Amino acid sequence: MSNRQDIVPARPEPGSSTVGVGLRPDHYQDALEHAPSVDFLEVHSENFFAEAGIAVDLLKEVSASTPISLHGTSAGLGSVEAIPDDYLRQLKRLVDRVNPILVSDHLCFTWARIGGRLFHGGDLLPIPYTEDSLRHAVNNIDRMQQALGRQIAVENVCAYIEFDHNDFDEAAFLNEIVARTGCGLILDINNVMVNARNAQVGEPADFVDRYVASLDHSAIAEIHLAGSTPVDREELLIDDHACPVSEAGWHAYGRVIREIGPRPTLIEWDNNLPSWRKLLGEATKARKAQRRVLSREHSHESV
Amino acid sequence: MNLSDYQSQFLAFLFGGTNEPALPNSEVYRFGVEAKAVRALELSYPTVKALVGPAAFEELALDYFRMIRKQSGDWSDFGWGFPSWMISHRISDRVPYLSDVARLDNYVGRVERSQYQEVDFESFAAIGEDLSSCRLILNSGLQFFSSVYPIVSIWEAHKSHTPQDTLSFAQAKRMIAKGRGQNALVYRAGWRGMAEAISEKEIALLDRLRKQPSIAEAFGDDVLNETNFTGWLQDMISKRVIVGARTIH
Repeated sequence: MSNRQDIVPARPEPGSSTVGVGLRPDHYQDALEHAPSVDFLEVHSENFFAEAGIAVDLLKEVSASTPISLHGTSAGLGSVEAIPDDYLRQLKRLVDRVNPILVSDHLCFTWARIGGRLFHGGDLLPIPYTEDSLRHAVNNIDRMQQALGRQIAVENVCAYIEFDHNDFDEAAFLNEIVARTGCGLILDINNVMVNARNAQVGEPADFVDRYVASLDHSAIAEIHLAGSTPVDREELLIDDHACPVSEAGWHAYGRVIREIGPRPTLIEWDNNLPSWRKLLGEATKARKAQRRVLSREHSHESV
Repeated sequence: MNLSDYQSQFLAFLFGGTNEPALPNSEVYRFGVEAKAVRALELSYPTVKALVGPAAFEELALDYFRMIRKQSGDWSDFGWGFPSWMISHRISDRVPYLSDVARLDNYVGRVERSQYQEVDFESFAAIGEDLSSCRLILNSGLQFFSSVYPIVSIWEAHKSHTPQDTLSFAQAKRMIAKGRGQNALVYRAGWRGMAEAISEKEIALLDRLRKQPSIAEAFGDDVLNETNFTGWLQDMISKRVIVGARTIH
């Protein structure tokens, strides 16, 4: 049962052309000193679930001057099991503490029972896009939105396994979730590219464009950009967020914002972390890409 | 296979319960989750890792992950049962103090993540002449315990990259040879968890204070005239071990 009409949209609305970076422990000190140079900071929600301590205090301090986007990695919105109350309680406490501009998580499962006991898989585990999956995802998204009293956004993930049977393609599945829950979407361009590459589609760029074209554009609340360490052709490409956004990634980003208009954009870099300066350099590239698209649109209008 | 069975079987595969992957490429997820599990335990148990070395630690961490599995969405919760679990692991035959050292690492981490009370200095005005009508308040975030091993010295020594060169290492070695242990007090200085060795008398006293007796019951009627007591109390307040006083009604 959907509760779309009850969902309070995320507040405050982020500017559509804002750019943020992921804040990881190695950069805490830098963020305190240079946070105003980005429009927002994204953190992984679960890293701040503690009752108190340095991470919690730091986030409170940073959030006083820089908007925070809370990105979860553990809710497991696609789990057959309901998200546990304790998880929702901790997330709600964090949301109340930092008043984030966006709360989000992934379209995947994490919780399941083994021998009657509930366990957590610790990763973004793929789900088939079936009616059954849709029902459970909708239930969990509704449950989280009700618990938080606000809209959340759901991100497409990389899937390294293929299912024999799907009732929807991924974009249609996401659109159906949006229609039934009123949630927003995070479009992770690198995840789409990695899936295209691993599926060895003929023209990955066309695949990305078709994927984006079929999404509900009005629901896209944030775009994620990241890099994956290149591997040999026969190997599986892993979405490791361990290097800069690739040239193909920047080209895809340009095409996406031309198609859907600028959106708050996040540079994700989680492993093999660069210096804070280099990370901010990636954010600057995103800003420039947005400006290029916007100025082109303005010049067309004036013609 | 229905969705519920798929999800259960996938997790069982991740935890090593079955070597039969649910679908091709499932092992990518198993490798990833195992790496995260090892990393989470490394962060929570740095002294244990320093004591046994990276390879033995990884083996220990994976044994724990496969047996206990992950039960919470927060990786920093993973491993809270690690100290008691390792008592029955074969590594404890080789390093018998490992479980107690792990417990100390765990308490230090716990203190760093807990709500650590501030000192209410004004409340000490409640200490009047009648010591049976007021009590000292122990910080609820505090941890302390006794070990038959010199755990604080071992913990202290392994904060260094070259533990063998530290005085704490030499002290730990001497104490192990003599069969002597230590009592650990774990408190917080700023954001950092700290551990220090305290005497039998002090740990007995802290244990007594947890039961919330009056000052007279805990220390005797004449304690305010003892310079040892006032010095001890000042030290405990400076570490936020004692955070206030309260009248007993």
